[in-house]
Amino acid sequence: MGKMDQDGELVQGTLDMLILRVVARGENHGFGIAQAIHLLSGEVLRVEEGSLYPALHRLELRGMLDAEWGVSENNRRARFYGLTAKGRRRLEQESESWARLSSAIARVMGTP
Amino acid sequence: VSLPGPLRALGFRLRALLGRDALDRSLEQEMRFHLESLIEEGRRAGLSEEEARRDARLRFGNPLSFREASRELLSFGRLESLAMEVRHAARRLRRAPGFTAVALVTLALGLGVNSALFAVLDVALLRPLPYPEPDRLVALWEIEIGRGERGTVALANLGDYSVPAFESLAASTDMSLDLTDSGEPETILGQGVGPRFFEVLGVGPVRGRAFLEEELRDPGAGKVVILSHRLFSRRFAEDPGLLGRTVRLDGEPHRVVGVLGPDFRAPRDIGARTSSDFIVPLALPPEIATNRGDHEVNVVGRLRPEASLAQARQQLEAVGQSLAQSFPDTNGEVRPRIALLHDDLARAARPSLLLLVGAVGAALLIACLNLSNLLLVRSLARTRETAVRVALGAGRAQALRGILVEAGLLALVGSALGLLVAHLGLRVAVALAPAAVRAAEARLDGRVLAFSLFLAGAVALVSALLPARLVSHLRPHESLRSLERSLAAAPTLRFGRALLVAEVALSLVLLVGGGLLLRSLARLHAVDVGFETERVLATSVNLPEARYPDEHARLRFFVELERRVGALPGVAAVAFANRFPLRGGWSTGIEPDSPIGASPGEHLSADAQAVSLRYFETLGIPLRRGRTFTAADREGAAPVAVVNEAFAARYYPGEEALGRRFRRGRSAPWVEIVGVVADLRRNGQAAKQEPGIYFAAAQTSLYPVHLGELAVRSGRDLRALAAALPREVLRLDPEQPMNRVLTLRESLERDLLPRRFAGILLSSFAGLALVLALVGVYGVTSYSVSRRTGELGLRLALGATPAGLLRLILGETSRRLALGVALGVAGALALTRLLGGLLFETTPTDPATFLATAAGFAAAGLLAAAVPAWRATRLDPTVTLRAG
Repeated sequence: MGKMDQDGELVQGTLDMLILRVVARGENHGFGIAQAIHLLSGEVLRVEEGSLYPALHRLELRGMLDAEWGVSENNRRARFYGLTAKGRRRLEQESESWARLSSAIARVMGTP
Repeated sequence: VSLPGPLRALGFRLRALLGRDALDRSLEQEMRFHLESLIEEGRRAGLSEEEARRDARLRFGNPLSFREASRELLSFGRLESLAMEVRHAARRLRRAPGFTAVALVTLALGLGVNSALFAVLDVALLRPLPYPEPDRLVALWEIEIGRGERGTVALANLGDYSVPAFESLAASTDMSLDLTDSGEPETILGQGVGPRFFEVLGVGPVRGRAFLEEELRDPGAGKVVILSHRLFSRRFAEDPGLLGRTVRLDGEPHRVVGVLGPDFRAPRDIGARTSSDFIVPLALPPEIATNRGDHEVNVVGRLRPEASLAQARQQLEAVGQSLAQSFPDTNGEVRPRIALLHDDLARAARPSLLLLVGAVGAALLIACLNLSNLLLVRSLARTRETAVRVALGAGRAQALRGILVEAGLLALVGSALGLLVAHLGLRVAVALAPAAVRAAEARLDGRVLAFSLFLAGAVALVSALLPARLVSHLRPHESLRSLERSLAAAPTLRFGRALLVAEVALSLVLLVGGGLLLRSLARLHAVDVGFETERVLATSVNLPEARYPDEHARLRFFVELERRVGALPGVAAVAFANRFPLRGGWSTGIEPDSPIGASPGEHLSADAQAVSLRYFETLGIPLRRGRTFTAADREGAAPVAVVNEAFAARYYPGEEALGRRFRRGRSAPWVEIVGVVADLRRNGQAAKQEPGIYFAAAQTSLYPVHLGELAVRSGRDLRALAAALPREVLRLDPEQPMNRVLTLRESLERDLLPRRFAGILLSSFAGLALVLALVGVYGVTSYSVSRRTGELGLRLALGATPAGLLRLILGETSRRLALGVALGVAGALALTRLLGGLLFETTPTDPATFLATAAGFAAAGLLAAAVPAWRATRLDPTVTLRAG
């Protein structure tokens, strides 16, 4: 399973990766991103707003995400985040190393 | 467009910093959208509106805390919290415009004058001389043991003074020559220098070469000159072809062998308003150059790298003693003395500068005390607020930081304003400073800026010290219970009172000093010099021997010049002489026919001038008895003289001087006194009325001095006349320059310059100090009144009269004022003797000045205290009691 600390929260680096992955599917606002992570994880992972927004702003600050104000599905003003070229490269790196790491862990755990 | 990472981050942070409100709004809006989306989700899941809202809030957590986290992320963190402190401090200061204005004015003046002073000191005392290894350069002079007077050096002794500790010694004299090439003739100043002059200094011509040995050995042979860069560019347009060509100096061709660099300064020019425009080989007549009794040259030397000043001194003392034994007539009483050139040049400036340092230092100290006092009063007034903040957990460190930031902000803005003051102050200082101070070279450069910033920091720290102490001793529960009974405030308040006493005392010392100087200046100005100064122009014309070989030729020139100038429009009277008053002196030994009032064998001498017919009329010197000169008093006629009353009183006391005779020496003819004129102070207001003799210029062989000066009296436009004079001289002799034309009043003012400099300086600082001290008195009284509002209201309610209340409040302040004034008078009594040399007919303990200053100060202080006190008497008891 994902890297989790003792309180069951996502460790920072992992959350960043998940956010980048979700945004790679299309621009989305904070609420949408949190929902997507929740649904896509089969309702296992829950992102606390208290860590979501600082993470979004940190990624924006580092140039992984772009942000602009837009209008949401329910016709409200919302801040939409999109992937930058730099964010896309980072996502590729992270996915690769995640794949290696998780298959390695799976092999160890699968040993009878 | 994607910027490189760090730059992008910086951009974000800057935007966050500048658009703080926009950022806040943006974060808030983003959170609200999230919250509303959660509510909507709840509603869709079938919850009631209220349940959906509560659920969403619970899930969402505390938006403030993560908004804060995001903001922290997007900002500069600690740096920004400092920026916030600064913003808060600025807001607090803006809310107290009176306090801020007073503090800023205090600081601007205190820091400004200090920066200006530093700029002056920097060039005058601190900056090294413009020569390589200046620490090895020394000035050498001779003293006469009995009189201790400092004098120039006999060239004949120089060889003996070349002791082993010296690498080299060089002689020079001040000279002036008339330049009559390319353009209007003019008199230029320069130096005649002996061998090794450039070697000693370590700098020489940048074009061409220094003098050759044979040129220095035999200056008469082929005349050579080295020009200053200033003259080279002003007169010769920096024409490189000038090298090797000749220029006419004093009517003789001199070959230009070198040109000095733009930065070259002769040692004699450092600290002087003049600058040398030429250097020629030193040419003293052989009888002077070989006479050990003829002291004619200035000497600079360079020590060997390994030699010390003390060694050189020791070796020179031995040489001086052996010379005294070998040549008792000329060297018996003469000894050589040396000092580092830098110290020697600074010596002349030192008294003025020390006065400056004292005055400015005191002013800065007062400014510091004042700011400290103001900040103290302010933080006392805010004790309750601070106590609340500390009790709520704001932390003492933060409260302390607040005070420090406030003081720092004030100091910074104050020093910026101070630089403005310094800029103006420097211009005043340059205009007023005596030449020796070298103020003309002072600039507001990086060093001054650094000094000013350093000073601002120091002032901020020092003046924040007491208020900070107050806060760190603060006990919130006590302060909150009752400000009046706050234990922390009491000792600090005592400090505040002590500050006030110190401030009053210091200001009084400055005021007394300034008062003494002003009184002395006023006395000087009231002195009548005894001749007209406003309407008389004077100038000098140096007639070179090449064209005017003897006194007859010079007399002819001046008689003709007198005739031509007399014909100019607006001229009331013209005169010529060897020296006019305020322009130097000339004296002669005399032997009266019956030397009353003189011990036998005593050498008598009197100031003596050769003057033209209308000399007395031109200067407005009244005739007391007898007659002045007439056209009949010419060469070959009976020798006559006019004397002044001081002369008559000195040599013929109680007798009629008219008709008596004296002679200038045993072989000189007897001269009859034909007139007695009023006394005058030849050397300005501070000078005495000395016995004086006037000879008729036409009787040239009687007193064959160099005629060289012209004076014109006019009722009309002096400026136009001043411009016309050199033209008349040129018409008479196209190669003859004239020196600067000044009114005698201007010469007089120049003589008074050092005293005026000191007077203006000290009294302006004293004025500044007075204002600061009054602000201090006002501030402390205001505070103490506001602190006691409740008590005063109670007294009023219980029937105290306003007058009684006034007495109560003023009594407290006047005790402190009296203590400060007493300390100030004591300090002034101890310090004003330092002014001794600058005072004129005023003792350093002049009772009138002391009394007037102390009384005036006390009155002004009481008045400053009376304003807040009077306000207290108008309190409405019902209001104040409720508030208390």
